[in-house]
Amino acid sequence: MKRFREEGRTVIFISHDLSEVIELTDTITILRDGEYIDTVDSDKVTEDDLKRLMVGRELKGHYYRTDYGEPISDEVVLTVEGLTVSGVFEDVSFKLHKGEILGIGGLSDCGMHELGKAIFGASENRRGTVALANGTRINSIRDALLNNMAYTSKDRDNESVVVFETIRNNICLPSVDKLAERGVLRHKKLDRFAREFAEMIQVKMTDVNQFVSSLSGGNKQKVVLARWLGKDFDIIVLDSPTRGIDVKVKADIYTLMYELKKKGKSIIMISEEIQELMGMSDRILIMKDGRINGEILRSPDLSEEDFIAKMV
Amino acid sequence: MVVFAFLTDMRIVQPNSINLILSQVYVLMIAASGVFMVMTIGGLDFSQGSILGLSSIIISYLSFYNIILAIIAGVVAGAAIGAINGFFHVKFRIPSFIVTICTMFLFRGLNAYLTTNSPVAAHVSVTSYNVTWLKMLLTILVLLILYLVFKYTKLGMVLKAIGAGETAARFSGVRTNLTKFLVFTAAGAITGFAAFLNVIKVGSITATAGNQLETQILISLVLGGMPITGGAKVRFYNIVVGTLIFCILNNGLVMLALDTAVQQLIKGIIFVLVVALTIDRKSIQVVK
Repeated sequence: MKRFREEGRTVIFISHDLSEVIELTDTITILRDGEYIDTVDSDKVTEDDLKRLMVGRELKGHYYRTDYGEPISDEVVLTVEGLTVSGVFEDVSFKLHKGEILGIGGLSDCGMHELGKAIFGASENRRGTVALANGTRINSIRDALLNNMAYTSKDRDNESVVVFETIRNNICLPSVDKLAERGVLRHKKLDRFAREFAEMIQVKMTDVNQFVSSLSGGNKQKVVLARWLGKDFDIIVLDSPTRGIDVKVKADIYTLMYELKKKGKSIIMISEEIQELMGMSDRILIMKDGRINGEILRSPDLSEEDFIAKMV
Repeated sequence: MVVFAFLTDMRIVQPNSINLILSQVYVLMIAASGVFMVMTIGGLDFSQGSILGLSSIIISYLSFYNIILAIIAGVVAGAAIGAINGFFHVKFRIPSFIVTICTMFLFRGLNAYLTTNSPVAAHVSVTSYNVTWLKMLLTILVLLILYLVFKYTKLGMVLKAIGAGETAARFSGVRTNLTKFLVFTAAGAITGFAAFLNVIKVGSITATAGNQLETQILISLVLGGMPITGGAKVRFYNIVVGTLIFCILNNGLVMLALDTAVQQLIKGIIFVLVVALTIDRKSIQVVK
């Protein structure tokens, strides 16, 4: 890009990686919800200024939850023991508590993404056990869904949503058994159901019959979350929930996670972003080379160095 | 239709021709409705012709004993071949077009063996069932059931989801493998039923029975507007519109007294054109 500029050509660079945008550009134009907001000079703005313009309200440095020191419930909802997927991760054991946001961090190839799938029963060749508080084993996706577990993948377009389908069918698909009346699906009911949850989470769409493929990354993720809200769950595994998503939707997702926590839902958040893990989790497990390499408890005094030391 | 009306001096819109077209459409329409489900999940099924052949032979044999039993046996035979397709496709993860081409050759071979000495004739009484109202009723019945299932049950939604994105469907709790297996089995069973209409029409089964049915179905569905990759844009009317257009096209070409080779050529060109014009390049994946 710099070479292009030196050669006298013009580059329009579209991104929501703010530090990159500031570093590489001369002027920045900000759009929000399809509308022009402002154009600023790159050398006169900070990341926080941009965030404010993008979100439309003050974000005091960050948009994570701000509570500290709240005790984690003693009630265990999920026990993972000796979980292994050969060649990816080995002997992972931990307990998840009611109303807890458990962060799992590490480098992207540390095995944590596959771990998320394995917990949801979606991995082949898995060893070890995943069990609910009442002893029910989760061995397949079917088991997971029947026992109110949900999962959103890092690979959103292939695993989380059926992109070449409508928003409506995507939201209704996991809940289809619940929606059928004596085996019959009524279209009005499906429409109403999809609209209810899409609007609850403010998916930006023309209507629920729009194809998911035409939505932005952030709105696709909202559809993913809407479908699970519709299904209702007690435990959700969120793999990289804010990957490739702009700050406004990011803030919405964090708010939603906190609300879910308050309602007593348990969340496992797998993420490559240390800031996010630090800002949202009650407890963080750090993985390295397929094994758990340490546990960090929520605290306002954490620094990225604490994490990096355990990751690398 | 309009084109052929002119090309054939209105001969194609005469009642006789329309009757002829209708008499050809029943078997095709029923068999196509099974393949419609297979194609909705993004698969292909080339074994339909051999299924029609084998089921027809079985129905003919058994028509000497009991016609109801014969129909049931035909359906079961079709379902069995469909189940073989489904089993190998799902269990060994072989693309469906490869599996079904294999079963096509396998059962075509068996059909040829069974009809080596002489064509298998059905009991004379079966032709008494060859009346328009019965054939029309059975066809409408099959289509109606499929329409209701496709539009108003979980299965319809699930089939489209598998076609549009199998992995995501699996992560949404769809039992993709079981569903795929059942779809191939059902497609076989439906064609096994279509074999009954075939038997009452032709009376005796030769080695070539059902030849090219699979390509006729494929061309019909694509002509009817069905995306070849399946998925969410599939519509039920694709079956009806497609098979009717195909039969009109077929008869039109015959009436123009064109050479069979030329007819094949024209059909092939139309097929390629329709696919090229309608294929959704954004959603194209490897056909399952």
